[in-house]
Amino acid sequence: MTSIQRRLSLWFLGSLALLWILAATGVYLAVRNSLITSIDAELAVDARGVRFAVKGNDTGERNIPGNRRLRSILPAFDDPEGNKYYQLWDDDGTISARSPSLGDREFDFPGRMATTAATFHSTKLEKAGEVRALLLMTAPGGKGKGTGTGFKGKGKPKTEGRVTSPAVITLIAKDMDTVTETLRSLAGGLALVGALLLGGAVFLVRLGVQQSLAPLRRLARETRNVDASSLHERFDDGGAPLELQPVYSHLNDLIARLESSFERERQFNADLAHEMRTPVAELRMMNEVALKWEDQAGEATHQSSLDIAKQLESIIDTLLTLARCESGELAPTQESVSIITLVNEVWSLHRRMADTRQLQVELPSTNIEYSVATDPRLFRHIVSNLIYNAVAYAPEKSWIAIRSSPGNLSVSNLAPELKLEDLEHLCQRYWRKDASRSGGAHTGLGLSLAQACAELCDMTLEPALEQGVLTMTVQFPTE
Amino acid sequence: MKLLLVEDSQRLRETLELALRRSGYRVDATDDGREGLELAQDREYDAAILDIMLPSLDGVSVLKQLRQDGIETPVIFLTARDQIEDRVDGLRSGADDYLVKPFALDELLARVEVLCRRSYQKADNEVQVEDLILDTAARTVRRSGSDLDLTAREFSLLEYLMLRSGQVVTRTQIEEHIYDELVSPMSNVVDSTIYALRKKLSVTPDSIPLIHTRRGHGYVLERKA
Repeated sequence: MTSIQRRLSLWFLGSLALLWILAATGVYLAVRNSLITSIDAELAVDARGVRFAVKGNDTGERNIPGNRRLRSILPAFDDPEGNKYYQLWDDDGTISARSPSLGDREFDFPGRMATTAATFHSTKLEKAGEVRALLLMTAPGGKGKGTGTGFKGKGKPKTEGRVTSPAVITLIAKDMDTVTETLRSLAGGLALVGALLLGGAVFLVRLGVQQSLAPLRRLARETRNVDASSLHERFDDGGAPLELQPVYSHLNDLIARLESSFERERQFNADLAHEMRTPVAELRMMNEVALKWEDQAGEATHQSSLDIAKQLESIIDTLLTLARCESGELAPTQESVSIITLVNEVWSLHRRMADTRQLQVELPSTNIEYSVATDPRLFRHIVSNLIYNAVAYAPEKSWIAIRSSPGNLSVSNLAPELKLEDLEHLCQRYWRKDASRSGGAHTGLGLSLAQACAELCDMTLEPALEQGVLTMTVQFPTE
Repeated sequence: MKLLLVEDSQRLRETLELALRRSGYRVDATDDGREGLELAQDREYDAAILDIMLPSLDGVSVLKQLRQDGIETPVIFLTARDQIEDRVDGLRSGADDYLVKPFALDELLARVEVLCRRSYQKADNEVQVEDLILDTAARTVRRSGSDLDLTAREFSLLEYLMLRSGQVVTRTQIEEHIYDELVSPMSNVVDSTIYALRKKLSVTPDSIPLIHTRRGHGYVLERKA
């Protein structure tokens, strides 16, 4: 598994190493170039002396000085053990002069040069190793073109014009051993410093990365401690770096949603327990009393038992339907459903309760017929629950209104105890305004089922509360 | 014994009330938490049976308020919440017992009986004063080896006096404890019941009178020195 700490450490160390290598290489090359330039300058000075020594007369004959003349101009080349050398050739390659320092060694003839421009190059000399050499071609005196090196002290000697009279090719060289030694020391020093730097960097980078990642480790530790029993706690982002602030914020939001979800689940389980257990407790108690005291075993007990059984059946049916809706088991069909016809059918089932509660009702006008293409069973669940809720919860002697228009069906009733903040809970399972859930006939599942069915049918179910009137509106696509 | 029953399910409340009365308890019943609290604050009960999910004030809040008021009436919670956390919370709030619905009637009666005994710091079912023995569970009374045939009200009154033997019990206390809503407090049922009890307790001519009148105060059951 990838470790951020390792990756960062390797990245930093690798970058440092690369930078050090580049810098050291630059320093090395710069020093090398400087040293070589210095030698080249020295050779160029010596070359001026050679040019002076090699003169021509008006007839163009060469005047190749013997070793004695050159030796007087370039005494440094005289030492047999010295590190400077010269060698002259006629243009036909005949060696005309050699420095004593060469001994029995000689340079290879470089060939006739095209110009008098001095050229520098490195070459090898037996028993001396690498030497730096200046090669130039000089013509003896006269008015011909191309005399002089034009060397000004720095940089390379300037190029001059062509020579037509017989020329002398001169090679002046110097050992590079001091340069080589210097560069070797420099390289060694750079390598040592680099190693020490890398060693120090390993420690510092590790420390720096560890400290920088400490907030991440803290976050990981805190996250590991989150479980179902600690969802009420929140991450403390005090002191967290800027980059982690959004993470803390999002995590806290996520935990809040998770806590809410767990609470709803817990509440649902508690509500389900209550809704199922209470009627069963009633059933059990009534029958135990009837068995214990025979005079209680009458029609009232039987009727109550039957009512409870129906209530449980209703709860179980609703729960199963809800579960099927939410799991996708119910595959909605598509049929044309007449809204007026359905409303009247459902209303007929609740009319008696409405009459008992002395409710006035406004039904949709039959003048205009609206239809919707949807699953008739699911749509019936929606309409039935909306109308039942209105009839059951509207205050006695009040009213309910069922209205229909293209694309929507609404059911309204007075709801004096409802508040705006209750609207978001209306379709939650087992939610009832009265938290005690008194009255076994109301399970608190009707609107949950209506909403689940609406979602399955691609409809929306929206509550609205205005001036104490609750309106539940189903919206659907028009045919 | 007098009980307070607070349960918002009408069927369950009515059935329990009937069962408890048939078992010899006097019962005040309500479906509202706040009303239940007021009853418990105003009257003396040997035990209270509270549902947790109640209108206006839940059972736990009722209990907490009673305890804050210093009312130590034993309480048993009836609830559909069966999770360990709910039971622990209920017991920690001050309840003496916790029964999950649905439950057996006999179990409820047994637990209520235990609570009532506890309120009198009794370890068993029998209460004895001199040669008079009352069994609170069997609801029998014997004196000098003879079983006494008492009415339910007579038994309740005798039980009340014997559990407080040596203490003066006022008429008001007796009325509150043995009356239910069906009996008018203006009647002389206390006097007539005392009279009937004294008569029945005199099983032999040598039987020592045990129920004594403290004029202006009430009654006390004890062997008069």
